[in-house]
Amino acid sequence: MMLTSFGNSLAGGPEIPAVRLFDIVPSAISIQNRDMRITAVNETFRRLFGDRVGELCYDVYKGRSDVCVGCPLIKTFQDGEIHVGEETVRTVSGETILVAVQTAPIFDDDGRIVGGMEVVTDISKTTEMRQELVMLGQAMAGMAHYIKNVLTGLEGGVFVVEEGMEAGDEDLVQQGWTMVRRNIDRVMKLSRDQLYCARERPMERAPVPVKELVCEAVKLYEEKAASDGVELLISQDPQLETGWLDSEGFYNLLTNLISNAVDACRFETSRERHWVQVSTLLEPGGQLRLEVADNGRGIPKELCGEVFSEMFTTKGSGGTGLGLLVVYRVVCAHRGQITVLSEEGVGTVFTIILPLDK
Amino acid sequence: MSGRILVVDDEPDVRTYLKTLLSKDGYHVEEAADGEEGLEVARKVKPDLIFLDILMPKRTGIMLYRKLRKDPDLGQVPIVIVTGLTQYRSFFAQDFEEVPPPDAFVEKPPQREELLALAKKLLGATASDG
Repeated sequence: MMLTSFGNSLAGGPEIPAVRLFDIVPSAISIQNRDMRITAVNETFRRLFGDRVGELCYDVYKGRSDVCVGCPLIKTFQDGEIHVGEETVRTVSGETILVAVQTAPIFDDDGRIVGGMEVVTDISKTTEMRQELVMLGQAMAGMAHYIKNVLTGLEGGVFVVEEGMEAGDEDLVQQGWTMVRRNIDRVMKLSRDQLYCARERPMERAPVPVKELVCEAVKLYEEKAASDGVELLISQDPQLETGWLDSEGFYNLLTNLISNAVDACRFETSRERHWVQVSTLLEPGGQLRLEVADNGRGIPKELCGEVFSEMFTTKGSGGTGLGLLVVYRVVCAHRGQITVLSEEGVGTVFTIILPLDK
Repeated sequence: MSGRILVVDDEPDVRTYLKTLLSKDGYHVEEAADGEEGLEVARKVKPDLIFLDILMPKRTGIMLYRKLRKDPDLGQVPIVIVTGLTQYRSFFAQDFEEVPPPDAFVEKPPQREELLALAKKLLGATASDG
């Protein structure tokens, strides 16, 4: 008997024709023959990939001319079992998304596999959330460690100031006071980053004076950099005017990158002169290219790929990894790009491209 | 008090703090900013006691601990781990089975009196050993 409808009107539920149910499922479903040609699709599929009935599955999902490696549907055709997989596919709007793929065989009356059903579910959001949770969890674990170090710096600073006063040693007082100041700055920055990470805050894009904001962020770190013996250099594109950015996010991004760069210099002990260079450039396409470069100690090659993948710090006790998470979030929210180029013992360049249009 | 103490920590503020504190008590203090430098200085000055931060960039704190413990000249020098890690005891139990455990642990921020008492005790021990 063919099942044509689901539900039970007696139980108070709506009676839904099977065909409509097929359309209601919030995953993209396609029926394919053994040549991987799509013979039917549901509404979610049409919305995500277009009405591509009659076309080859791998062409629709990936623009490929041959079958994808490890295709779960091929496995289903081979053993008649359900298979699952994860794939990156391209949607009709040109977006690349991560999907979970499940495949099931379709048998004819003689029990031969004549085709298969493929259920594709967009898991980009879940994956992002999972990633964020991992990052936050690790950041929290690093936090306790970080705070203990800040406390040590504060205690130490106070002690050194007192010792300096007792001994009438002006230099020692000054040294202790710098320690106190630095560690107060660290607590302030930590609470700012934490707030930024914890708050569900919508992007507020508005016209922002980009050059001025960059100057302001650099100015904020001038004193800290000077006390660490680091020169702060700035070079701005005069053509750069107003851009549509989330000013709070952008400012956070700047301060995090600059303070990281200064730290990278502070931890580098072999060079006489240390510098951090902040540059802006208006790209021909109207995007902002921001570079924060330093001649600090650099990131070991094997760790470069991890910088944004999870809570990351090379500062040992000095970092929480929260700063780069903030930077990464801001870049993503602006649909921008971020890359890092680094060589251990030579320095690091963070390059950020942000669209400036509305 | 007399004795030569090496402080190895990547945080300049911690080094300044410990140096000021220990120098005031009469010790001669040497500093190193990472494990590699730590080993260099240790070989040069042959300290009587080492305060070591274990979590430093590039795992050099861990590397230094192993190298010191296995070093024929420096293997007997007492080592105090000064750390912000909370689970430091289990960390050592897991990662350092093959070498002797540290002589003491101090959690950051250190209590001044405790730290000085520890230095006195451990330096006293080496003096009587020698």
